[in-house]
Amino acid sequence: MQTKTMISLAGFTAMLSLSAPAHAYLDPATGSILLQAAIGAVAGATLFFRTSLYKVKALFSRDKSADDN
Amino acid sequence: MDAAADNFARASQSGILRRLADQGKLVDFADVTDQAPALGLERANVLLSHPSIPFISYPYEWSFSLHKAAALAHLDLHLELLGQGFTLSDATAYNVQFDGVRPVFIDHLSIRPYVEGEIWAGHRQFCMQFLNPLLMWSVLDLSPNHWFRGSLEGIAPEDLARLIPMRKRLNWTILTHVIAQAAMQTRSVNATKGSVAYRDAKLPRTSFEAMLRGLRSAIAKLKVPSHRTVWGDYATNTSYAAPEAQAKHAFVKEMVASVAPELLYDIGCNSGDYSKSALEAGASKVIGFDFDHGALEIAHRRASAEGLNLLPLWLDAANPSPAQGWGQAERMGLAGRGKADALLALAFVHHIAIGRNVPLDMVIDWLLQLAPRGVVEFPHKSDPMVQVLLSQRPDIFPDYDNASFAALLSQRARIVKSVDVLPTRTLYWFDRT
Repeated sequence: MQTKTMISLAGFTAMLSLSAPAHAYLDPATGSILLQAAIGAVAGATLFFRTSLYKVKALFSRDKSADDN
Repeated sequence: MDAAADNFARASQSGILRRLADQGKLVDFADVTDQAPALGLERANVLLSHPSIPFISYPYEWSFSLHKAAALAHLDLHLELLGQGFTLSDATAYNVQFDGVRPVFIDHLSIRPYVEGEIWAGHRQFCMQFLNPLLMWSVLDLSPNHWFRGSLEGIAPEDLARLIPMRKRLNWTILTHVIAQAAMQTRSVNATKGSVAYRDAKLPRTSFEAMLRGLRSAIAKLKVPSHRTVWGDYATNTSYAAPEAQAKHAFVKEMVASVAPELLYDIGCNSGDYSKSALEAGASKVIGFDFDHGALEIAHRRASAEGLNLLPLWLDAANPSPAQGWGQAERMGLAGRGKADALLALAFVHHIAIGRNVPLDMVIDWLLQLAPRGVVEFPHKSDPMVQVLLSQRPDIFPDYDNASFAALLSQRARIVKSVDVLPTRTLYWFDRT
């Protein structure tokens, strides 16, 4: 949970730098925007971590079988 | 500069609209811009024509399974669009209609080119009209229909957040899309800053897709706790083949074969037994209505599994959906929404006449204004179904009897045929044309 919060804050700050065009009849509402900035970073990061974690796990399982042999 | 015309041109030229329409995910359409001047619409950039939908349903009339199917279809559509460089401008549940129980998207103009990094403008709307009603079902075991009917824009995260018990808040979907969003919204409203953050906020496409996928997998897993027992009860009840059922099915099929209705209403459709018979006998499309969500779930599963052109909707016949919204005309009331050619009202009238104290002549009037022909069942007072309703209250219905019912009905329509399927149950085939 700690890691996620930290990533959220980092992502959120990074995202404030660029602008998006205004669109449409629908007012997105500030709460939703703030949340998306946060979740978006996490969702992207989780995917990144999942793939990285898999590689790390794969490394460890190879070492283990080497030790047993 | 016309952004809408540009957006539509790009969507149209890419072929995505045609592809989706051909797959049945989007209502079919044809570009008839050349006919615009003849219709007095010279200033129109684009004119589309589309087939008329025989019956429009609203999210507050949906069962849990219908609502879930609509939400998943919306998310699947959005993900497919993003893969092709397009997005949806909004996320309103009113853009989903049903063909049988199959969801179909109806708003061609909501599809527009995606701009990399743009935030999901429809997020709050998706939560209010899709996610939150489904969470109300799954987490609170409550039907959202009453609330949604009053609050046409859906169930706000700030409201639902107050009702989620502490132990259920640790779920990631609820924590983010309900609790956190509610907290951020409340805080920003209090700060009266407005949507200042909008122009600076960016959501990369990969993150957007990950968020949509997260919502999709969370919603796919949602179940209604109290519906678990529904299937068991159904199995026990159907193992007993009621003797009058055969006669009832035959009578219904005879009426349907004679009338050949394009659209039939099954009022009090229960698990869809007679809707299915009507379809087998030649009805093109059946809209089923029932008050019991358990029955609606069974009817939905059957329609889905057997490919029936049946849409089972939630209805309180003593309080049907009114005309409402802007000018009290934005959303149509039940009366006058569809042109039903025939109706069935089996094991129904006693619920309204006895259960809700509506005079028998008014019940008949209400049914007859829904369709010009049909089959109505009159359960006599001595029938067990009626005795159950009278068991807890004094009998204040001196005029509730078969002779009175027949007299009232024949004053309003021709009785084509009538049959006693049981000594205590009479079916009437009426025709008021």
